[in-house]
Amino acid sequence: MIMKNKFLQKIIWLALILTVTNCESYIGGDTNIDPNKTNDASLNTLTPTILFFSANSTQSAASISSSYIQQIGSLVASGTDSHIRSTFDGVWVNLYLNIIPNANAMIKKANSTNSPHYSGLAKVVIAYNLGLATTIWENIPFKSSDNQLTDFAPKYDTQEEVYKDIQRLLNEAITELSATESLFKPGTDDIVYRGNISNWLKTAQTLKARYLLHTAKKTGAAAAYPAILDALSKGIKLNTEDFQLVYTDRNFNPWHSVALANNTGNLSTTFGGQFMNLMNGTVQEVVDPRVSLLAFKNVAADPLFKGTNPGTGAGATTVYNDRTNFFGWNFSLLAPLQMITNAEAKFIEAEVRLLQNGGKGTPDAYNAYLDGIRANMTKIGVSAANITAFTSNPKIAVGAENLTISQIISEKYKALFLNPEAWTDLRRYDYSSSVIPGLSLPANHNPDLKGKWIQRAAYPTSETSRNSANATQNFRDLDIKMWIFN
Amino acid sequence: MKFILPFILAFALVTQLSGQNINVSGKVVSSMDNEPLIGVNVIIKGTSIGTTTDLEGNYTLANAPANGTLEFSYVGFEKLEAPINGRLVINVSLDEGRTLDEVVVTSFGIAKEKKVLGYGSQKVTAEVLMQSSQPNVVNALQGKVAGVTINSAGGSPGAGANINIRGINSISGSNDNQPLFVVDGIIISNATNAGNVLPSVGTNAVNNNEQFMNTNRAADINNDDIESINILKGAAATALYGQRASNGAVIITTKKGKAGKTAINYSTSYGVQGVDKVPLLQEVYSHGINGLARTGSIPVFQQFGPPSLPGDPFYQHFRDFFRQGTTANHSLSFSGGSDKTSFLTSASFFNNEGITYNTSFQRVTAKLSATHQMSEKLSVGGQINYANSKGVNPASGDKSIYSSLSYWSPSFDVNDYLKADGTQKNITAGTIDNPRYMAETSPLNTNVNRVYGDMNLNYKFNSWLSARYQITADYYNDRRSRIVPPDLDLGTQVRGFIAEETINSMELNSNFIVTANHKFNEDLGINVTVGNTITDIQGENLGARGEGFIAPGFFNILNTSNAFIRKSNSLRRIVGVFADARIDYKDYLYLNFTGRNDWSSTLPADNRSFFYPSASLSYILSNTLLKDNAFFSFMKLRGSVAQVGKDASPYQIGSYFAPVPGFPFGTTGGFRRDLDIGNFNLLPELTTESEVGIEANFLNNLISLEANYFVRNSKNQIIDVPISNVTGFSRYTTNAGLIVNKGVEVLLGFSPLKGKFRWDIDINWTRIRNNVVSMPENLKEITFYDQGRSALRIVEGGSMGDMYAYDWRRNEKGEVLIGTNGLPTLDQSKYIKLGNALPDWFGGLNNTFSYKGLTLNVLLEVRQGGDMVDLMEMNALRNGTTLFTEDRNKMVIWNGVTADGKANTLPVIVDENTYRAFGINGHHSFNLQDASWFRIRNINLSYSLPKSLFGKAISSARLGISASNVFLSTPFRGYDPEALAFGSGSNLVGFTGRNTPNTRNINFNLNIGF
Repeated sequence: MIMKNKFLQKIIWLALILTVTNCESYIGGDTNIDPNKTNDASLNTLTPTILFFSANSTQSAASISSSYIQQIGSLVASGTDSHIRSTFDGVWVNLYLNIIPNANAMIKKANSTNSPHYSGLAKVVIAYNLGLATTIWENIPFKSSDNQLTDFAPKYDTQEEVYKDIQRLLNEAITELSATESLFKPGTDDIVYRGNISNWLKTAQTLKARYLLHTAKKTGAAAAYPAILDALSKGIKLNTEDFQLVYTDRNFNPWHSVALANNTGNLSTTFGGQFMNLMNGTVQEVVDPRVSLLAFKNVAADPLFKGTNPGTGAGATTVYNDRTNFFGWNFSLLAPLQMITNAEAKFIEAEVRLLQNGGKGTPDAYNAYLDGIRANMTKIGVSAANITAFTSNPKIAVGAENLTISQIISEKYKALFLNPEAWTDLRRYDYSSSVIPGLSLPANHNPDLKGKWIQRAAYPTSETSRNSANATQNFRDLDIKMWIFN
Repeated sequence: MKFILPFILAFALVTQLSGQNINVSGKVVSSMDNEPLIGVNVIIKGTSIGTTTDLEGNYTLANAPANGTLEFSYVGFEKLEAPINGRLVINVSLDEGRTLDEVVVTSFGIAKEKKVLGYGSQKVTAEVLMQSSQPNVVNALQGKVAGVTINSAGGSPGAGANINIRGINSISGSNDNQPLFVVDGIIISNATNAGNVLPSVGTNAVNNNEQFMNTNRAADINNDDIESINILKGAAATALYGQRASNGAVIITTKKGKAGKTAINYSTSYGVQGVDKVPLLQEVYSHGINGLARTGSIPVFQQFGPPSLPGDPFYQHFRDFFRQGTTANHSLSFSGGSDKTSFLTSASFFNNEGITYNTSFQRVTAKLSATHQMSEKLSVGGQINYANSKGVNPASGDKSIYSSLSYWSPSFDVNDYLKADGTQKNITAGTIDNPRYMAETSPLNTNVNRVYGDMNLNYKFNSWLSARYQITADYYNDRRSRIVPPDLDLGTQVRGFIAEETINSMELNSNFIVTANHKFNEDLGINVTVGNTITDIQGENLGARGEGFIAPGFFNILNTSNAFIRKSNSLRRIVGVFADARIDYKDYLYLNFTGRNDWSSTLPADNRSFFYPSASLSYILSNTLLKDNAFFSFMKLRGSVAQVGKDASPYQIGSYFAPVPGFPFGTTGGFRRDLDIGNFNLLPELTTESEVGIEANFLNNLISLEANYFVRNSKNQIIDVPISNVTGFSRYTTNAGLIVNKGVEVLLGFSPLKGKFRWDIDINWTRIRNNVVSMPENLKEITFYDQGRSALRIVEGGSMGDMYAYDWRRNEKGEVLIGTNGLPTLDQSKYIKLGNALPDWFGGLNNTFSYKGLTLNVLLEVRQGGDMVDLMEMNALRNGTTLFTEDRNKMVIWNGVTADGKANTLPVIVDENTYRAFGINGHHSFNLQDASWFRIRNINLSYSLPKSLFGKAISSARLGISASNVFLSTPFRGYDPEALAFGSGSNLVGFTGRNTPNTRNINFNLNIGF
């Protein structure tokens, strides 16, 4: 018995020793490291990520902003086009989770490997997305973003600070993209330009022009206009230089999904009445040849391409696709998702030159206006003859002296179909029906707006529930104009 | 040995001194049926001298003192004392009892007398379990256990069943708060694997959980193998299992072979099932919109047309859609052994063809268990179980069979689903799917192969010291596939897809336990157990999804144009040491202490080791202060305080970069930083539970009562706290929050009638209150699920299960504002707390009547309170099909005031727009419903055929018929609200209606013993 007890003692001690000594390797070491993930991502794996999500954000923003400005309209009454309060969650999530952290990781890595082309690219992308976000919410956090959890209640920057950061980022990007040496360079991972750095430089310049125009009211026209024209002179001049994402047959254009979903009872939107009235001749007294490339008329009896009567969900004779083969240009599987384009650059030029001349047209402004129309028509595939016919129609070809801001902004509104920048344009001109003829408040208008046009979005619920003090402090009612529009 | 010896000597002395001794013999039978009882303990009171009855119920006891008393005791029967008074033959009949002298199995298979336990636990015997004829062991417990909530994911074959003991105690919707499942010491997985069955675009499904009512893996157990189940509820009860059982434990003990003749048992059942409760339809209006019938090729599926004319087709689609389901079960076992070796082997086959077309669950199990006494000291045992579970599950949730059915127009036959060319006949031209077509074409096929078992060695060094070593393993492989043809709504955007998945799960445990006991003197004893356990849990999930079928009609993953691959792994290792010491004072005071220290691989190195203790006390008053009290046959008070620490899930610490979902983009791969980050200083969770209880039998065991009150605090919870996205992360895994669950559990049993005609009543009643005491900093609320009209969310100071919804826009005085159009408008700026999904209380009442061989069992169950959202009705309202929408084409004046504060007087028509416009039907009065229910869960009639009917070959035969969900009463308008939309393994309560409705079953059973 005693022998056995000693034997047992030995076994217990042995077991304990084995347990203790093996414990560390048994439960420590690499046991708690996820084998399917990495602690480090290379520059070329982060580049497609931030570009993909930039396009994704743009579409997500436009699905609401284009409803607000009646380019598209809800298929049910009192939808988003009634100026329902929106929070643009997709844009917020992409900016703070998908774009800034990964772009910052790229900048850090580019700096440490002497690869300024990558850091320049990342900065252009951040600047673009900040511009998108600040025109949705006004004040947004940037300096406190991606903060390594040093602050769980990140402070918001004023819109003025955000625009300063946008210009700073674009200036830095221009310097870095102009560097002659870059150890690592974007290539096929750059799913927008496939490594064409000169196009990135042009995009940076064109974005500078766009955002200088946004703040022109605040910085003063005298300083802003020459700077805008200078940037445009170094910016995008060809459709082939457009900053856009072309989708693949593996990754569909998100508008394609919207069009398909409409066929399966998940009704969302179709063309808006205001947009279609500009296109179908009701307003301009000339039918725009783009209309039949953009839309499918599903009510044969009606001669007109009509959009929904804003806010009613009814009245449309057009849809995004015909259930079989036809998809509107923006809605095909591989359609490019445009972020900033040659056409926009031309319209910015036309507007700035006209304003520089005290609101009267100049030949340069007039040419830029016509070039803007041609650029977009060419892109969509309007035939040369139809382009000539439209751009020589007296309703459009008004001559340099008769060019008005209304004509420029109306044409820009058409060319920037489904581009959130069009919302900023309308707000810059206070939703004036003298600038966009025919524009009027939608039916079932959101009573919270008390009859005024919508100026901004609410912060996402994620923010009001998780960073409530800052979100509450920075929120203004939806009808209050932003800093840049005042 | 040296401690025991004096006692035996003392007993021997007593017997020698008691004077004249005689030989007593007799027969022991059951008072109910006069059948002999085999193995009844017959001892001379005050000694350990005794014998047991033989196969005929006979006993003979030599040398019994003529003036002594015989004690007859038998498990499940009341103890009987019979003074000998010089009699040579003493025949007795025993009453089936509500005895507390039972032995229960606790952590690590340690059997304890229930009376010494200082905490609550509840044992469910095989007999009670089998009354339900439920193939899933979790469902079989429904209505029978206090403190335990069981919800099934629906009436599909193999549908998951969620079990929750003593409330939800995690402030995370995705956490699984289900208990640990242990079969004969083998920890087995009861996971519900949602898998990944959704395409890259084209769905609004919240997650995969809602999609297929997936099976909880405890369903792989053959219920016929089960001898008893002991539910360990509180932290003290599960102290030795520690963190593994921080949500309680379900300890299953299986049948074992017994020495003697080899017993053969065959049982079979056949059953039919049908849909239990369906929503009522309006039959007044026909299909169409705006009061007009729609004609021609325009899709029709609203019921807002003109009044129906006689002869218009009308179908009860919510009922007609379902067929009669069937169940069949066969189970065969052989068991037996010698005095040294025992064995049991069993095999079973279960098949359920569900009420939804093309759904089934088929289970084959096989088992072998054996023990062998190698020497007086060493015994060895082991078992191996195999299960194959094949499921064909119907699509539920968003874009499913049931969402399509909820939109369906009763003017059309839902089962007329095929065109002559074999393609889908769809009245809505693709807007929704034909639900029957979807059922036929797009189920989830699962095939689980599972093996679990153990090997154990028991060594008894001497009378006071023994050791046990057990190694256990549980492994399963789950292969799944789901096809979605391109003509289904869900498949259109990706041109059809197929998802294939392989899930592997493995758990190994090594347990080493040493037990010693010592009696210091006659009054004071100690019982000590120390042990070590090493756990290794590994999981792997490899999934491939192919989108875009190339050649039409060939639904194979190789025939797709876009492939997406997913892979995930997990590894969790735990080393634990524990000790359990019990001090016994006389026969009425038992003080128990435990402690466990764990080292876990999933926590940071510095916080990896953590210790947690427990203390419990059992005080049996009836053995001391209330001894021989006429009123109290038994009386015990108990109390416990226990802590349980808990580690994290694997790979939570720090942050990673991972491939972007949906990438590569074309051929370009992309990574992004994970949206989650884990605290580098993560601490273990800590649950502290205090419990007091009473166990009492009154009036000669006529009435038994057990009541518990518990307070459970769960703090430092490891949850992925949603944080401001601005930080660069969406969720931060850290320690936060404090949740308190308080509850009362009552078990009351009494026997109004005893003897030949016997009636037993067992009542269980539970009330749990939950309070979210603290939430993570900067976080005002956590939304578990936002459905768009209503949400399940918690805020600090609120409770788990709080339901939020929209109210009308109101003025400063709180009056409803009515617009110039005469209608109220929905205030969408904020959700308001308007209910709670969890019941106020729930209970079961089990009646058992028995007369001779006939037993009738009726189980009633109540769930009082609980508000739920009917995801079915949300759609049906918009399409004007349910009875609720019959109320139309009349003028009403909405209660409220106009902008100038005057009472609204403008009449408006109730029509299609009332039910279709979100501005109206988004109101909570349309969405949140009281989901209380009362039901007759089960009626079971069985008859044990008298032995005289058959020869020696057959030792027992029982015939039975049972019916479940016989009657349901609820104010809820939709299907039976018991089925949860998010199924098992989820804390998302409060939503129902988009899964297979519960079924009503009738089963015929036959059980024969040879």
